[in-house]
Amino acid sequence: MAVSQRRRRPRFTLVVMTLLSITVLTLDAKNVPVISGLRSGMIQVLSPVQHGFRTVTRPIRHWWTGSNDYDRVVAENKRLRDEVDRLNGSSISNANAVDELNRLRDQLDIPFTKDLNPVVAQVAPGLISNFDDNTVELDKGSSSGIEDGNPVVTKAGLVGRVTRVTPDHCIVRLITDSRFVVGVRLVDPVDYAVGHGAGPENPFVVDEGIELTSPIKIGAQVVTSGLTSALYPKDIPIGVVSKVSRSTSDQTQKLEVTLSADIERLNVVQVLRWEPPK
Amino acid sequence: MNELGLVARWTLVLVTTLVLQAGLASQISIDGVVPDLVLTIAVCAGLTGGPQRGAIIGFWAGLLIDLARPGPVGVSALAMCLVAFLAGTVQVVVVQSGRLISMVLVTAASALGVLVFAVGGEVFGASTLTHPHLFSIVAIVALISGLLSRFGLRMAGWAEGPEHRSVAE
Repeated sequence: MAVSQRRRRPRFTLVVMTLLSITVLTLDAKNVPVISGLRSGMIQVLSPVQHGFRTVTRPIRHWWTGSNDYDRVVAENKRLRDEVDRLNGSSISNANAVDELNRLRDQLDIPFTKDLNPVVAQVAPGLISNFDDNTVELDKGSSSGIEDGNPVVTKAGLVGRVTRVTPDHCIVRLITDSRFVVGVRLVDPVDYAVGHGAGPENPFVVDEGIELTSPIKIGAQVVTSGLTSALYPKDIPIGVVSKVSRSTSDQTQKLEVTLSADIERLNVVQVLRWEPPK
Repeated sequence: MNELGLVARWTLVLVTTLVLQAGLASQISIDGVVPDLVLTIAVCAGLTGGPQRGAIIGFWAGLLIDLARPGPVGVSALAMCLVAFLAGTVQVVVVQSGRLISMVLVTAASALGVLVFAVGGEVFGASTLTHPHLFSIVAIVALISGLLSRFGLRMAGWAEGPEHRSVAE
């Protein structure tokens, strides 16, 4: 009898703990304030810890990164040298390009963060665990006016969307996440479609709404559509078309888009205090 | 050791592990993969204290890390609870075996823990099972957990008290 009870007790505990886990998952899915409050508290406590450790371990970390990623560092160094050579060679044409860009910008008046009350925020260092490379944490939160759903951009283009907010921090779902869906507009020729992320190292994919007859060119610019009830303001750059494939079964074209923003090296971003029209 | 002492020791161990995970382990990236100290300690809790302790400590360890990371809260708690329980069921083997076997068990249980987390994450809306580096995450996390098994078992043994310490430490 006693042996039987001893055997049953761990299983009963397992069932209780499993049910507790599922309960927590359900509460989190329903955005119950208790869970978000606990999470907010945890982030508040751990952020200074992370910064403290990061400061102390900086020399070791640099050494580790250098030795662990030696090949990448060498390749990056070579790429940067080539880039410097290329930029030196084309400085005159670049100056002309900048002048032209400024003129165009003045004429078209499309600074996409204008009138959207941007909040400048810094990306928090390091991931606490694996599988989180489609999200980043920012050092600003609701006390700076950031709200759930606000778009996040860099000067290059769309980066993601705020999904969780605490008073001093927020979590951003990056554009690379496969659940990140956005209405897009192709600039030339004008066409409207829907795109989504496809993973941290894959190009953005536009696979809904482009008809087979639409003459899409490689290098075509892709921006947010900003149509009624869109989640993002219009004309935020997303990227340029890098590959076009045709699906005769779906009667659509699938576009791969190279993102404008460098998601791998995010440092400072702007959170647009913009809400979709209701 | 009384229940209060046990709770206090395990609380200290879990908080210390979480601080080390957030502060130190998150700075150490091997091929883009960070060590999972919390999973290691959950598995060691099962191996040291048995299935019941494993399930309880696994749940709380997972919940702590869930609250600290951006994904859905409860997936790590579920995964670690299940894996630490399984690890606890082989506790007898560990007690009667040496360090090498315990290292292998921690490695295997950690690999399983990452896979269970990946499945759970996918079910609850995260892109974990379809992650392009799933297998390198499984392999690296498991290997590091195996290498850290001795420290994990020592910490778990300290939390459990002298009567529960296994020779695997």
